[in-house]
Amino acid sequence: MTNLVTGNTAAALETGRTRLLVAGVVFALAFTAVGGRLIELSLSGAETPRHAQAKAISRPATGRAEILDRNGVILAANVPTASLYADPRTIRAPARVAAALSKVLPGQSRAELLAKLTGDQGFVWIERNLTPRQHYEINRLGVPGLNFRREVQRIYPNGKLAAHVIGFTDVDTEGLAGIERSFNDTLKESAAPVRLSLDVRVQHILTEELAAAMKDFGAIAATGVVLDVRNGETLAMASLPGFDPSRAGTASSNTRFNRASLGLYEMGSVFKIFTTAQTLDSGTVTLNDSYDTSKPIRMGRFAITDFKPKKRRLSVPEIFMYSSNIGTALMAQDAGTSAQKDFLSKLGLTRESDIELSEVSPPLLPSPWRDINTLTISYGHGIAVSPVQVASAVGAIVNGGELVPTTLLKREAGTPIVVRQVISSSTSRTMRDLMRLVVRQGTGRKAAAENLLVGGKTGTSDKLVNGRYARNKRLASFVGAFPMHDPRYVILIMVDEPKGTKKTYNYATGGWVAAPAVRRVVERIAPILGVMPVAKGFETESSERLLERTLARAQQAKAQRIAAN
Amino acid sequence: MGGMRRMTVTLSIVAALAIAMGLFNLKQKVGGLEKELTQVKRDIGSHREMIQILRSEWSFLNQPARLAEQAKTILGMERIPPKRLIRLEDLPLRGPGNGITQIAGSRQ
Repeated sequence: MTNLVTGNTAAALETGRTRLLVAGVVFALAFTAVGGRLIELSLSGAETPRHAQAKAISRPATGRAEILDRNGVILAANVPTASLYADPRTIRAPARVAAALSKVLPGQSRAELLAKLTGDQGFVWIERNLTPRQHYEINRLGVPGLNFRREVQRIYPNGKLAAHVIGFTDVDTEGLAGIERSFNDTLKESAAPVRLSLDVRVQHILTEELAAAMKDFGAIAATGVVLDVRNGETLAMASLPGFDPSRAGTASSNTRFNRASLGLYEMGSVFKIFTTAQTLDSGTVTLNDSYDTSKPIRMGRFAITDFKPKKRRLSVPEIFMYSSNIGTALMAQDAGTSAQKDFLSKLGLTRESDIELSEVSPPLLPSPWRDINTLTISYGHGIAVSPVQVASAVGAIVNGGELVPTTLLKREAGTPIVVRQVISSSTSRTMRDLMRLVVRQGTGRKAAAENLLVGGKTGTSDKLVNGRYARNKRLASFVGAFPMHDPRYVILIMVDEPKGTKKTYNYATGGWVAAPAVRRVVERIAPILGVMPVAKGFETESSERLLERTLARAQQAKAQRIAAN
Repeated sequence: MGGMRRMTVTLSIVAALAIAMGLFNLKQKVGGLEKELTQVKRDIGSHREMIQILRSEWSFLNQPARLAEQAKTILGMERIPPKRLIRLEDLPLRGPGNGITQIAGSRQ
């Protein structure tokens, strides 16, 4: 064969073979490369899954972040819901479907549903935001022509509980009140939940006892606060009457009003805590001083009197424990106007509370602050502040003298808190003993929770109605702390317009209305908060000594008065 | 020479076929996995939503007022009066020689 091929033909064939060989080698190399890559990929190709994973986890599907209580209980969350709509043109047996649907949707009658299902339009809403169970039941019916649309709804699983703190949103889930408003941007932008300092259990107990006090005394409203005196955390903040945040649009402004932070009240005798702390701390008075309270103080047409006059000289502890307006006013007079102004401003009572709510009011202060104002402010009249700032100030009085900023957010352990020393720790101890004295022997005896060493101060103030103090409309309050040998929590309860009952001999004062409510709350929350009861009959040595000396001096004063007559 | 050439060609064809089959297989597998991945992602999403709903429902069912009511009506539980709460140290102790040793002794 080769012999036959000669000359040019042979040369052409040789060239062809060479080219074929070169092409073959190139192809072989290319396939080897592809094969090599194939093997490499099948052995170690781990690039794609990592990418997919990162995408899946980044954001929650439902937008706005959650609001949790201090133990992680959900207070507000977005949940996806299904809304039911129908295409009446494709529904074959509307009567049967309406009958089946009316069993699942209790809000709508069979006739209403039938009317919706028999129209000739292509789209009609049957029910918005179904519950998961309803969604499941309707799916199970398997009716063609019934369809769902996915929507997102803001829900408040705890209903009315803490509604004033949590707040609510509008239909576009923009915060309109409470934490929903003050943390609107945070809730929108971050996926991490906002964790509050509230404890739903404490909140529930406080709300329940406030409601009970309101009912017992036919009151129109009530409010209460529980604060941690060491770090300023708000464990509970309630305002009654309340509202359901998922139906905030239909709630009246009266129920939406947060009395604990937005409400301003003349707190009455509760303020004697501040006057006494101020005058003791500055050295204006000592526990051994006494004032003559037998005569009202007259200032022009105005007179300061006592609710239950003792008509004799009272020592400073007695003035506090019997809540003498005259005595307290004289103490404040001795200290002077500017001292009082400075002290109240140090306690944060002359500016609005630093709590994280937009519903706060700046206090109503006298302007100008005259000497007459100093006298009335000493026992809590002529100055209107919010209950939460009073509770915070009382916390500073009992915790060793440090004012801690009030917060609604849970403080993580170890984060530094900027505090301000407002009174000395020894004055703070004396104040604790005095407040304990009020509950042991004074106006606050009904706040005595067994073995929990409650101390505090009662307050009863007449409400201003049309610029005049109304005798029959008052605020009954009690602010206290426990356990008094080492205070952990401060609690304030205020009842608006209580009416005396037979059981209380027609009294509707702080001691009769608010003090028992405080006792019940303390007895119920102490076990939850891990506050150990003290041994039966335990009192601190200084408290015991104060009581003995006060009673002895009272005996002496009474004997002197009898001898003088 | 001729045999060598034929072998090269055969080898090339076999290699090409094997690689083509391998590639096809791989493509199929990747397609399958991708489908699975999409499904898993969708499942994760719906599970996450479900968890969200169930957590809210859990919170709803655990409302303190509801729990208190149910503990009372279903379990017959009462509120603990503060008198019954005392510290461990205040419990009257059974010292050695009375209660505890007696029980231990009776067992033997």
